[in-house]
Amino acid sequence: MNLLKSEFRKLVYTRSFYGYTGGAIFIALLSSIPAAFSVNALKGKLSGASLLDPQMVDGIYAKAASGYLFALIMGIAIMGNEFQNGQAISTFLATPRRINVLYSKLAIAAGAGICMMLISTALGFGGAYIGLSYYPHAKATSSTFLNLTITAVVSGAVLAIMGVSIGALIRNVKIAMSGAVIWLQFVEKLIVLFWTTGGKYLTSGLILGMMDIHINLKSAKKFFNISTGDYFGPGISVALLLLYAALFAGVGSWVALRRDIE
Amino acid sequence: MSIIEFSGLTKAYKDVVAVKELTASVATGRITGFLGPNGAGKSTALKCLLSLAAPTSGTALIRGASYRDLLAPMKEVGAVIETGGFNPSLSGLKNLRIIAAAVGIPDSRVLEVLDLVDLTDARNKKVKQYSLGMKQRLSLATAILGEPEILVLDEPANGLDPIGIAWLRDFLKKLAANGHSILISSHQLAEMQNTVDDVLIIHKGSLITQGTIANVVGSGTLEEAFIRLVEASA
Repeated sequence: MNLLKSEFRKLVYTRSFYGYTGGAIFIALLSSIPAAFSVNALKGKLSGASLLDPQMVDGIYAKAASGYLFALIMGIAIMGNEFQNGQAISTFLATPRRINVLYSKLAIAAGAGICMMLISTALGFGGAYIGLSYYPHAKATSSTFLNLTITAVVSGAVLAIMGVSIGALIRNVKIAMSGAVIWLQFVEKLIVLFWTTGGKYLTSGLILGMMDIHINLKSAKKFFNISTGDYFGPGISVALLLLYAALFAGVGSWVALRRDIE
Repeated sequence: MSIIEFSGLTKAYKDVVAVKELTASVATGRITGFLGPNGAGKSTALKCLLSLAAPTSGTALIRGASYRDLLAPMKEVGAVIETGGFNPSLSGLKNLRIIAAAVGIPDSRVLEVLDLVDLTDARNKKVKQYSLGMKQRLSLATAILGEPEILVLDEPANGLDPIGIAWLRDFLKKLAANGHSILISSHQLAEMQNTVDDVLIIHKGSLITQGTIANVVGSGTLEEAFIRLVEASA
């Protein structure tokens, strides 16, 4: 409990944590509010882009959970700053059994990631609701709210844990964060969009899978067809994400336990 | 009786041997100066002692156990390792409260130690706004937070002005008078001569001498003895 209290203090004393939460909220609102208008604008250009389809409406609500990138960044900061500031010296002097520090960090990061995602997703949900209120005929499926809540909780915890592990693996926090942003926001998004066979195993693909959305968009140009039908269902997606979190936590712990403190 | 023992301690980083077969001991209730030129391996040996670095071979033990295996490490051993260890964006008070929480020390003790090191007025300033001397004092506050009997201090006088050095000397003398055992590394030999009871000198990672200050220095100064011993070992 002492270590959890200490790690909790580190988190709440640090201003950047509030900045990351603000960033997650901003992304969630930026993604969710205009989504309904975008879909409506595309309805003549992409077959399947219709607000009459409850699956498409679910897809708009799914945008509310777009802030998970910031859970990853927060996790990287929680671990990476420890080494970058030299704060690791006092941390490991207070608790030389590093595995206990690691467990506490992972627990606090997971909790903070869940809180961050629940807040940003709730606000993003509100944003999507406002956008969709201009289209009274648009109705979501009955499982939207539950799926979105599960997505927020699981993605918040898993991404934060992965972040802590990346922070342990990569000494330079700026490089770790830049790499994470490029991978998650650009590389993964492109793979998920255009190569579902591999994309469904990636974090973004699994987060999409947790939402259990079945969308088929077809354009006149074949390369821009989007189908979420091949993605895993919520159960497998949650299981795989938890497995990834465990693997990352294991590797991160292994590295942090063996690293000399400079 | 020894309270700290290095036994055949070796620490190598890739092809650089920072500490080589170091065997030495620190007696209970005394101030022991851990001396050596820059890069002699003092900080590395202390990091091994405090479980911050893993020895390549040999041991560094405190009361017969590794730091990692002590029941309440910060309540048994207080340490200053350079001026690091703090989040520069947080105040001194918040940094200490984080450390205190990890060890289960009440926040009231944090205010006590800040007062002991004369940082009460600066407690809410961010550490990045502290002078080097203030950072050193904050490090000392961390070291005494758990009211330990043993202190391991790595270059605590580095960057201090003459007033700061005098303050540190008095501070250490008071702690020693209260029965603390102190291992203090430094390359400020004139200051060490006024402060320590015993000395332990290393050069290029190896021990070159150990004993009471009177025995090691003889009739000259510590600086003269140090230069003579280091040159003889080269």
